[in-house]
Amino acid sequence: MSAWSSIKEKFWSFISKIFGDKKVKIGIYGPPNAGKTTLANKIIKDWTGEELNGVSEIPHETRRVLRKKDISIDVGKSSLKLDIVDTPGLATKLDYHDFLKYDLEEDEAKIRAKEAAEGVIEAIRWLDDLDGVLLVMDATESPYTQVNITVIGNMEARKLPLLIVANKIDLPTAKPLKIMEAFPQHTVIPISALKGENIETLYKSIYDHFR
Amino acid sequence: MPHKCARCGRVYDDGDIQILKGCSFCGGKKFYYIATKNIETRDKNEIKDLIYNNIQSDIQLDNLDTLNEIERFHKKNKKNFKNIIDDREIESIKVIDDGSYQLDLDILMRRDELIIEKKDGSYALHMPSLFKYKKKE
Repeated sequence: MSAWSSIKEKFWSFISKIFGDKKVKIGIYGPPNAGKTTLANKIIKDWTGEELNGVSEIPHETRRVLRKKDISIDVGKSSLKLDIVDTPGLATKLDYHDFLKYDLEEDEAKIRAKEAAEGVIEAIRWLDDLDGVLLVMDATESPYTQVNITVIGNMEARKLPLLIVANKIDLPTAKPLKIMEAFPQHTVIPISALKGENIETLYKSIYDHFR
Repeated sequence: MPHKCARCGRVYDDGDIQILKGCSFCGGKKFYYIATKNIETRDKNEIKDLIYNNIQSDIQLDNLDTLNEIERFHKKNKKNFKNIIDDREIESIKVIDDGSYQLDLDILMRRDELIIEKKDGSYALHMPSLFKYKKKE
């Protein structure tokens, strides 16, 4: 970072402090293929017109943490400035055999598994640096998984504000109510990141929850 | 311990038969405990006690009448208990084979240091992670 941009950033953070324009760093977490990157792309596209990362049906497409700074979301007359951190899918088991069915070569699949394992560790390290978490779950899958329960337990212990996103409600087999019943102590927002369904409610909840 | 319906929030007393049948108001079948701090602490002690009893079968739960006695027992066996927990939780990453890994998310989230169990059963300590991790901006 050049000296000039560093001074500029410090100046704006000083101005923000004076005028109360708060900035929060939000991490998007969840199991692989829950739609984390699709949601990150949707949020970034809606408010900046850009895209962050590619998506794929092969699990563990995102294997490095990606961050988009200074996204300003407007809710009514107020706005909230966000840094969005898209993270690799959290998993307890990474086996290259699982990738072979997606027509990957053995070497390619092994590298993917190794990078995905590193990605999980990197994602967890980022937790220390966040102000809040959007935990994305696939509403067509059972919410009672080791990943979901471990992550929620750890966020509660860290006292990190958490919003659960029940994604893929555009699919006929989606059961967001099941997620609400599984984690009644948290706010659950059913959305479709792909189709944009109920996304406005999510933006309002982000504003209310992480402000 | 009272139970609360996960769907509508109706509260049922401990042992209420309605919990088995489903919520009388909304039909919900999932309930969660409403625990006060005191109850939680007592429960933790009871769980610890059960673990101790499994380890040392000569002491029975029924023989311990009061919480004070349980506490005294815990203090006496504190060292023993700590070792057992530590022995169970060592590796955060297990290499099963080339390209197959098993991650313990709970340990990874609670501890900074990485301990890797290799496929031959040996352990590797990741030195940089043993020191305080500082993220660069």
